[in-house]
Amino acid sequence: MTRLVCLFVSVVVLAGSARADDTFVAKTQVYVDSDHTTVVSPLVALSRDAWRGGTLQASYVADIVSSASIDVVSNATKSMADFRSEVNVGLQQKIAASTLAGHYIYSVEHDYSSHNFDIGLQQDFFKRNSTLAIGYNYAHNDVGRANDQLFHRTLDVHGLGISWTQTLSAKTLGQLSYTLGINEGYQASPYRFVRIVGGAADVKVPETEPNERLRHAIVAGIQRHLFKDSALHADYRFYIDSWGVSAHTIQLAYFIQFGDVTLRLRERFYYQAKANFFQTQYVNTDDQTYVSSDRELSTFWSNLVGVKVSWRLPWLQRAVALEVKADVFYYGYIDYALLPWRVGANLSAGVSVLY
Amino acid sequence: MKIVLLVVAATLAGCVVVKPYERGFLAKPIMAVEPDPFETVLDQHMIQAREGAAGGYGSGGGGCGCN
Repeated sequence: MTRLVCLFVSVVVLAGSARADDTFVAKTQVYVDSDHTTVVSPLVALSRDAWRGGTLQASYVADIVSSASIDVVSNATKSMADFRSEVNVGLQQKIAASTLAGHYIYSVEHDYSSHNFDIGLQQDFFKRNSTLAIGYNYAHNDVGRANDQLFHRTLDVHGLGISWTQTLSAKTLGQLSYTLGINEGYQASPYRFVRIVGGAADVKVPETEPNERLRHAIVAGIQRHLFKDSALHADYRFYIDSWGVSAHTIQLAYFIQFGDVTLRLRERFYYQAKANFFQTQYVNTDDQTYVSSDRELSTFWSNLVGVKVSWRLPWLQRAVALEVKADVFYYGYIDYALLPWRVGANLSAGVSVLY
Repeated sequence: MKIVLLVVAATLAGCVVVKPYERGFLAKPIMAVEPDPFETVLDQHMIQAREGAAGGYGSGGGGCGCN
């Protein structure tokens, strides 16, 4: 599989270009938070118009992780470090008002590997005033545990998505989308243990979560052009799943263009209600089929604000653009005893080239 | 479900046919539904590792990278 991926990437790099819409993107994102976690994520991507209507794409992204979070230290480990690599190759073909696309993503780290496949179809209607997009993705994940050769679990994920984009006026677009996710297999963490109190002595048991998870997400969004060179984007997502987690997400982004410079301001608010089997503290009773100490399954809210500046350089026929981004965020955990809150920042810098 | 149908009806009721020569504002990069797909990949991967919800937006890539 690795050889096939390398072959595809080579084809993308060496393919003759059919048009001048080839792009190269390189950016690095740095995540840091008050829970002693740092993640550096470099990304490079290449896109080539290789034949009429056909585009080849290849990208590589890595996660370089260093963490001494409460998750890590509460399980008797001082700190952890990890390195994840991900390769994404894809093909897109335009045929009249239709666009077909397919991707393969391979992701690997020392205790986890993942194969992802997705296909999609996009169809324009009513003289490009409406667009229907449908897609399917499948992922097979192999889960291991460090220093434990005998530990092996699998997780299969199926996803279906459908969206409708509608031109509402000469200055307004609207979208409605729905995605269904079906997770089957191991979804807990092999490194997390849950404290059970109330018996003769407190005990710690491995985290145990249901093998199946059905996930629904619906998003409504709108983009509106304002004034001379500004635009407002707004969307709302409602999420609910079979584990009892429900969530609301509101996102706002405001773009202002000053010639070759684009400024983006954004705000994101998120609120989540806990999974029905999640408890702040588990007491020794008989009906405890599922136990988890995953704060991502607890009740919490978060808020993110950010700014991004992009500058298309006036030299070289404006083919090169630079960008920098800074987001700051706050997470407030309502029923997670080990960590009441967390703050952090997400910083990014990058360059894109059209050639 | 009633809210979804209401949004759909309101959306479709507001539909107009914008001719190609009237699409100048819609063609601007700041009006793209997803202006930076690679930023979406990095953002969604970071977010999905820290929240219980998933889906509805662009892909978060593959694997766990549960950091």
